[in-house]
Amino acid sequence: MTPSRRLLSAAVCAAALALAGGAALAAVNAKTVIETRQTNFKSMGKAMKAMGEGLKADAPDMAAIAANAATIRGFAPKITTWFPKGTGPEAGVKTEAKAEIWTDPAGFAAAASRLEPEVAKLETLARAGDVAGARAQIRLVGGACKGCHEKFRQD
Amino acid sequence: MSESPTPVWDGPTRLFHWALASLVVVAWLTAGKQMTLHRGAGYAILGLLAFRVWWGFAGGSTARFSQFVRGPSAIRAYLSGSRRGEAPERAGHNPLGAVSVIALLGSVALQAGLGLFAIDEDGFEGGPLADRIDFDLARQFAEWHELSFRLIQALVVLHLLAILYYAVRKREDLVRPMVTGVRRFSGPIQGLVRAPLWRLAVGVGIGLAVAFAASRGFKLG
Repeated sequence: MTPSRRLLSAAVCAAALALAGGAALAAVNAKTVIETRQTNFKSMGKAMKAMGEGLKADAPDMAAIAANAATIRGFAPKITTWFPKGTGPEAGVKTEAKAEIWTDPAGFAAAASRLEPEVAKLETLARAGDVAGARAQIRLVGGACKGCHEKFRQD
Repeated sequence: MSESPTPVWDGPTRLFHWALASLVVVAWLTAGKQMTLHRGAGYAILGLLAFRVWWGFAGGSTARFSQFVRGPSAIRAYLSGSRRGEAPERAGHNPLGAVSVIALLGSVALQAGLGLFAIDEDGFEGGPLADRIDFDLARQFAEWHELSFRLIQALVVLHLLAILYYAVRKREDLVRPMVTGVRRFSGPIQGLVRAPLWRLAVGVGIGLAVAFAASRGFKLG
C-alpha cells in the first residue's frame, strides 16, 4: 500500500465510523424526542381529563379548570416542534405518529395550530367563571385534539 | 322430518339474541367516532346482559344455564356421538354450543365492563367510570377494550362458521329457529317449557335498571 492509499483507507474508515456513530446518536436522539413528546401529550391528556370531570360537577372549581387550560395552552404552540425528521414510524421506536406529519407539513401545522386559540378561549371563560361557556368550549378543544389526531395519529 | 314444529327458543331469548348482535355491530361501527351512540350501545348491552343472566335462571327451559352448561365429559360424549352420527336431537344448546354461548356472553360482558373505565387519547371521550381512575390507567383500559374486541371478533367468526358447518354438513338450519322460535325434529322431542310472563317483566325491569345505572356511572342521585 502506498502512503496515499493508506491515508485514503484511514479516511474511509473514519468516515464510516463517524457515519455509524452519527446514526447511533440520531437513534438515541429520536428515542428521547419521541418519549418526551409522548410525556407532553400525556400531560395534556391528563389536563383534559381533569377539566372534563371538573366541568361535570354542579359547581365546578373554575380556578382548577383555568390552570389545566393554561397547561395545555403552554404546550399547544410547541407541538409542531416535537416532530423533527427521523422521529416518525421509521425511527424504530414505538410511536403513533403517522408519516403524513412529514409528507404534509402544512396540513399538520394547520391542524395543530387549531388547539391554542380554542384552549385559550377556554382558559378565559374559566377565569371569568362562565361555567356554561366553558362546558361548550371544552367540546371545541376536544374537537381540536381529535381533528389533528384523525389525520396524523395512528389509531 | 315429519313431526310438527316444536318450540325451541322463547321470544325473549330470540329478541335478546338479535338485539345483542345488532348492538355489538352498532358499537363496532361507532367506536372512536360517534361516542355518544357508542356509549349508548354499551349501556344497552349491559342491560341486555343483566336480563340474560336473570333469564338464565328464571327464563324458558332452553335459556337456562342449568339446562345447557355441561362439563368436559359431556362435551366429549357429545363430540364422539356426533362423529358417529348419533348425537341425539334436542331442543336447545348442545354441550359444545353451550361453551360458545358462555364465551360470547362473557367476552361481551368483559368488553362492556372495560369500556366503562376507558378514555380516549385526548382525555376527552370516556366511559362513565373513567373519572374514578387516573389518565394512564384509563388509557390502559382503552387498550384492553380494543384487545378484547379482537376476542369478540374471533368468537363471532367461530359462531358463524359453526352455523355454516351445521347448515352444510348436517343439513341443520340453526338461523331460522332463532327467528321463528320453532324447529322440526325427526321424532318426538321435549320442546321448550315457557316461563310465566311476570318473570319476563322482572327481567325487563332488571335490564332497564342496569342500563340506566351504567349510563349514570352507577352514581346514586
